[in-house]
Amino acid sequence: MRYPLETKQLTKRFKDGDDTIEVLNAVDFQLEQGSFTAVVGPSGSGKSTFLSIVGALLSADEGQLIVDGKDISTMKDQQLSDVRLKSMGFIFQSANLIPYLTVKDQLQLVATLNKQTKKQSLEKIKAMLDDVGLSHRINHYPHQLSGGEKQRVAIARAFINDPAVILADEPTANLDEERSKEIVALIKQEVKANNKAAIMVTHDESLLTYCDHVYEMDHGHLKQR
Amino acid sequence: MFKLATKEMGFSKVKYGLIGLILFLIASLVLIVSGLARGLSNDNIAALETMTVDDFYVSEDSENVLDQSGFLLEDLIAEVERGQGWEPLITQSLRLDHAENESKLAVTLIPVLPSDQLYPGVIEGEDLQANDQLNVVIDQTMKADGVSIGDTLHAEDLELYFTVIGFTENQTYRHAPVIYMSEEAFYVEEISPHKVANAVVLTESNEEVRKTISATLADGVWVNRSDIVDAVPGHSSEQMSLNMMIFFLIVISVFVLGAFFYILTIQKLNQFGVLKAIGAKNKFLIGTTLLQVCILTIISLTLAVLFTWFTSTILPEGMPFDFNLLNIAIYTGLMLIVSLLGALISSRRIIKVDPQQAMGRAE
Ligand SMILES: Nc1ncnc2c1ncn2[C@@H]1O[C@H](COP(=O)(O)OP(=O)(O)OP(=O)(O)O)[C@@H](O)[C@H]1O
Ligand SMILES: [Mg+2]
Repeated sequence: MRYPLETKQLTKRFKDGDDTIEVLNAVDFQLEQGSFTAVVGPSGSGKSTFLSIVGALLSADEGQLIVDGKDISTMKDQQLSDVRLKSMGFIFQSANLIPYLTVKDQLQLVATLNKQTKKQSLEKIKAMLDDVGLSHRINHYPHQLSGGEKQRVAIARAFINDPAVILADEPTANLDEERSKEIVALIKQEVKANNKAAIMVTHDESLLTYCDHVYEMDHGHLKQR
Repeated sequence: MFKLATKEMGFSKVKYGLIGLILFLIASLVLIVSGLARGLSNDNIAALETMTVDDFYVSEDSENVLDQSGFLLEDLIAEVERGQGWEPLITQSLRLDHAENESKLAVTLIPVLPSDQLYPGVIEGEDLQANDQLNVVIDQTMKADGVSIGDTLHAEDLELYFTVIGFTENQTYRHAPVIYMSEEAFYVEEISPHKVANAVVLTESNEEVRKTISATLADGVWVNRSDIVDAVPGHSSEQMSLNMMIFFLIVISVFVLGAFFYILTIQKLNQFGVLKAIGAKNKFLIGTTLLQVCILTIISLTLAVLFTWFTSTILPEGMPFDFNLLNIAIYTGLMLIVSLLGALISSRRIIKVDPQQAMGRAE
């Protein structure tokens, strides 16, 4: 079976003074299409590091990363940048929107980077914003939006390029309980509706009910719970 | 790329406006100082620059300064007739009283044969005639002093009255207007009883004449027009100090603009990280940044050129200022390169931004 994302013996070490710490230790992991996976674990256990590596933002020291059947572990920066553009959608802890772009332009930018014409993208952008319930905020700037609304824009931005994999690092850390549930439910809804695969790192146990699989990061090992 | 560049500038109007303002001020200063440098230079040497002769025979010990050079011409006239390839060049400082409005004017008197190439011709009024009447044609800058055609100018030292019959243009020397009179009227008892000249110029390149001049007039050397121009008192030092100012202004603007663009870039490193994480490439980010700098610089420079032009129209009449398009094109081109260089310095920082910083980081 072909997975949208798969790792084999993924290992990552960081230098800590004279010592080296092994943050990821031979991680084998498969992400199934249409599944919503959560990764939990204590602070500093390597969750963000894992997400960075599978998101092609950081290179591993050993092991393979296979995206859509292609081994990308040996690719150069330029190609990795294309992998991120085409196959990955990121949702960061803080929405990380571009301050000088309106909601519509945030999405337009990603579409332009992906060489889509304005006409092609506009329909999609409208539909996408409709999905996340922001049709009425289409011409607003980030500073005019609430935290939850910003995160919805971030979700729309992650999905707009039709990526195979969605990666979310603590997307609800800045939100209250009610808002958190809405956001995670929204991610789940989009994952299921578009048949994508998503990984979400979270500290909030109450959100795990939305996820199909839960993994725990522990001393460099990723174990299914 | 263009859209992203303009959107950001539109969003942060104040920030980009201030940088544009600084750029505008520096560019205006560069343009105005260079216009002044050219204007002053014109004022000092224009009469020499517009001469169509290039070989000057001056006294050996004159250090190429016309006023310190002098020859008696009788022997030379006996050897080679006038009009056979050489002309005397005479410059004489004069103070004139303008009868009509009782002002005193400092001028340089140059006697010429009206048929010869040293005489520039008039742009207004009548040309000089080869006769002994005390008629003069004067540089049009004297209009600012209230002199007009038909006026009488009194040279007190010589106890002579000159009549203005025409105006020339670009005929200034040592920051004073040049007045031309007929040679016949000059070599007379009251002004110059002997046939003298400050320098001898070749009006055609004739080796024969050149040798005869060297042989007949003792203690002289041949020099080029540029040697004479450089030796005009004040010219080199004026130009040097003004060019120095321009040079430093440009060096300063490299640093000021470099620092501004650097700070601007540093402020946006997080954004660049996010953009890289979602798939933007270095080329795109640097292109956007340079495009912004280009747009900003072109707007500022255009305004600076307009401002310089405006300044040149409101400067007082007597102020030497030269609004020269070639000159302006060169300096604006230089400023554009300078600001792009300033922006390129910070491109290194953009390349070094790690897209991973977007992950796992709370702002
Ligand atoms: N660039 C780096 N250089 C050195 N050490 C690093 C680097 N990045 C991460 N680490 C270390 O790797 C370990 C894992 O970090 P990581 O950010 O993946 O943890 P995390 O599980 O996401 O923690 P949290 O829940 O607090 O976000 C930490 O001990 C951290 O100090
Ligand atoms: Mg983390």
